[in-house]
Amino acid sequence: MSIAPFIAFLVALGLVAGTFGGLLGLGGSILLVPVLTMVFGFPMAIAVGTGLLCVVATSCAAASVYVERGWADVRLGMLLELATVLGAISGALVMPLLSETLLKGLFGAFMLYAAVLLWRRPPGESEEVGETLPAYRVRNRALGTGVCYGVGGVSAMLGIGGGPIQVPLMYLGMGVPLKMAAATSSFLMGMTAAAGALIYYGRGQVMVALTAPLVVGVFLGAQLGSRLAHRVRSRWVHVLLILVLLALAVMMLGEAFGFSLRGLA
Amino acid sequence: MSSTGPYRWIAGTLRWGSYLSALLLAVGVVWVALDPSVPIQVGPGMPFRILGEQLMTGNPYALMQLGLLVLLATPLLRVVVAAGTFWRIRERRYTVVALLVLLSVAASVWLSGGR
Repeated sequence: MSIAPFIAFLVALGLVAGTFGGLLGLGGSILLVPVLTMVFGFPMAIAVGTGLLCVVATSCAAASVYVERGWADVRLGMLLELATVLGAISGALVMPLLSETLLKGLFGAFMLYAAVLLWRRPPGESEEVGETLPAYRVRNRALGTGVCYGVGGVSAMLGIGGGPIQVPLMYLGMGVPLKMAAATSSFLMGMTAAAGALIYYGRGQVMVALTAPLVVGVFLGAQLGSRLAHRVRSRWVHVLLILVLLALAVMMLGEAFGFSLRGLA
Repeated sequence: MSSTGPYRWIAGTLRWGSYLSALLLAVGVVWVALDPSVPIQVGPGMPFRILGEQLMTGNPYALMQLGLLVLLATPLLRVVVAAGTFWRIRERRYTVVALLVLLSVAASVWLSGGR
């Protein structure tokens, strides 16, 4: 039996995840981890290891565009990255000690919280990133760095890039315009995810045959998403982000409370 | 938009690392998809000590694994380039930050057991 259709499906899945990730500064694995665990029944550790590598792919592809355009705040990104990398190492070490149900519950609760935070603060016209970059002043650096340590831990435990926390944190808490927050999040999440992914790789929890086609799709999608970001208005990014977060929160919390989507594939 | 700004080397590192990794992965994936004589391999990556040998014998899974390793190395290289960029533009504080990130990742590699 040919495995070509399954490989094509994985590439397509990665493409969708990468497009959303590149556009919204999310990393892409926020879609992949729930699909791999809930639909295909992969163990959480395998899904997380795969998800982290997809985050690295989304980050590298999208951030190259954002850094070149000047949308990513490289200084802020490096500062927050130090905290997220330390957090990611801690998270990857703690993850084997936690139950799958707890991790899924955390994932879902976390998405719901980020969606509510974003709902309460729609972007204004003055924050639109176009041909000129909006002026802003970064505030609450110490708070941001502290929160990012936790973000790194959550990232390594759940296989996500940390974008769902980093983007609202920079946007709501640190005064960075929404699209620049998404671009900076894309920039820093690659290193965060790589720090966690190295540990999963070393433990043998990265399946090459599963991860490679997904990453190929994610690469293509992230390039597409980061280019689409130039044409999509911030308020649409805002609405899309909330909808994606809410959908995933419901799915993950449902799974944590025993409503399984497994077997649909 | 600052395509010629101080961070162009960082952008270039990310871009070319992505392209190389994507190329290696795409060749491996297309190879496995189109060649029915390639056995399906499910499981973790192969140890480093046999990766080179498997690449020489034309194992597409080894090619995919090399692509994943290049992918993992790209953000690391980006931090090295960032450290150099900050040093060049006399941003000493951020040079130290970049070096601390590298030190942390070195700890992560050590904890991974160097598979």
